[in-house]
Amino acid sequence: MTAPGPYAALWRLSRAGTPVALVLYRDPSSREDWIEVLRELLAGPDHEAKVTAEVSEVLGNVDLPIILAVDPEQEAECIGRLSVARDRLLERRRPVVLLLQQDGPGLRRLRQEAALASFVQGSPEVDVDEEVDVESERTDFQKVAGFPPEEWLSRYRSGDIDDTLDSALLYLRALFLERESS
Amino acid sequence: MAAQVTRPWIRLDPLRPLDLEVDGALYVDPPHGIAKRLTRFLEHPGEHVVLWGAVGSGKSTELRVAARLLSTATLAALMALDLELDLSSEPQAWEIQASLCRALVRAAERQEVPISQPLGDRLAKAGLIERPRTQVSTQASRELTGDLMSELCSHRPVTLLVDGLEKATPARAMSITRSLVETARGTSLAVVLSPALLTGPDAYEVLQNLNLRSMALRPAVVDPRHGAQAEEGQAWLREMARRRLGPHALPESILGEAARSSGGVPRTFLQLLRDAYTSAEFADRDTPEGSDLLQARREHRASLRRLLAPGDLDCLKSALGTSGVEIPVEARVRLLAQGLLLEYEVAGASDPIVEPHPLLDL
Repeated sequence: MTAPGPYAALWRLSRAGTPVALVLYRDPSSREDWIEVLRELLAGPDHEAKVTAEVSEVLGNVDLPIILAVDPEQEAECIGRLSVARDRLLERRRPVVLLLQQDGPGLRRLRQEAALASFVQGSPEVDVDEEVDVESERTDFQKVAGFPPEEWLSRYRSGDIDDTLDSALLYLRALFLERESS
Repeated sequence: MAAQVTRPWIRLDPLRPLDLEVDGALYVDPPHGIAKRLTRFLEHPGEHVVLWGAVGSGKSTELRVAARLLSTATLAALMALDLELDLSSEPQAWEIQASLCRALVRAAERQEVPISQPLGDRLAKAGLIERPRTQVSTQASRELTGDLMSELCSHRPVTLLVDGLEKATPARAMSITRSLVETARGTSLAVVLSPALLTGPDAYEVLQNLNLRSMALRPAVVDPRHGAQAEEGQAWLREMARRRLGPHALPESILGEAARSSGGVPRTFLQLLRDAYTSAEFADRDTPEGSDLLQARREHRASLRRLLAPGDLDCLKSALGTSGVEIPVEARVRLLAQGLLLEYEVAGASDPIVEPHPLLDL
């Protein structure tokens, strides 16, 4: 099974069992799209993923996956506050994903916060704007899934396709291809 | 996709210090033996030690082990100050005293050391050990803490083990350490501080003025160039993984390569294995192969390289195998604190040597 680069890493992120992970985006105009993708990725049958810009929300709500997405100008302060409280993240039963701008102020601040940086080390720091050959991926998807991504998504969402690990992965690929093709 | 109902890598749990009450069997005696060394120092009343080390080197776990060892002969009060106080702002003196009182009362209850009724009543009345705490005057909190320590010391020597201060700014960590040192006169004290305070220009102030003994928790030697010592370091990490994974054994080649790649830092070792596992699962395999570990290494290298500042690569290359003294002090302090530069105690060398983190692939 293969998947476009960013989705492979995001899928692994959702499975790693880590309380905190980092996702980096390059293109500011894609930020809202990635929030939506992460929201769908981290939601489960009995819970939604919460999107917030408040560090205090991360220290509570331990049973909800959280996407911590702050404006770039707030990133550094957010990293500082999170670093001080980082051991409280260990109480989380579902992860918090920090969405930061590639080469932005949050990442620069993370260089000063060695322990928080070590918490997210290797947990997929994803360049979600990695370039992918969309046409070739669409062809491969249809070969594996039997339908074009949009049609497969429609069937999956209407419950015609069983919710298995395979379909979860195909869902991520389809989401990506739907977004890239629109 | 592998039909994996259980995910063995969850048990690797790289970020959490071991809870010895629950996971004591997972602890493997490390080659550095820092908990035993700490214990030997702290068994002498009045000895004050500062413990420092690279991120993920196991300071919190070792402090807990030392507390357990010390509890046979002393009243060992372990406190995670970052969980007790909001270290993003300057805590007030009474708040520090209150945290201390809470830790002492918890330790007394656990070790069944009695607290007299009058003192218990005074503590309860002051509201110092309850949550939410009642604010009391600095004077009153100092008196109560002093009386509590005196009474407990009359039963057995008291040892304070303070974790979490490395999360405060250096200035705040220093101010709180000063306060703890003053309170702990006559009792033993261990404080975990950031390497930035112990390897930089502030080291003199920390160690001499406060009369603290420095104890470094260095990564295990795992580089085969260092011979038998590296075998011992690798064996320690491999055993750590085996105990955590239980029946889900990993090939020795994977464990050995992860140990070498980790630079001897246990958190990194466990993270590499965890990430190799998720890579394997993604590829429809139950057990990681060499390619999965390679993928995990790439991700960790990318993470570490993001921490580099301009000029760091040259600094790191020049440091290889030396004591690191030729690196400008500011860069050395930062690189050590970030774990990009690792400091080892190698048998036969008079001083610790430094090496760039092996994951940087320099």
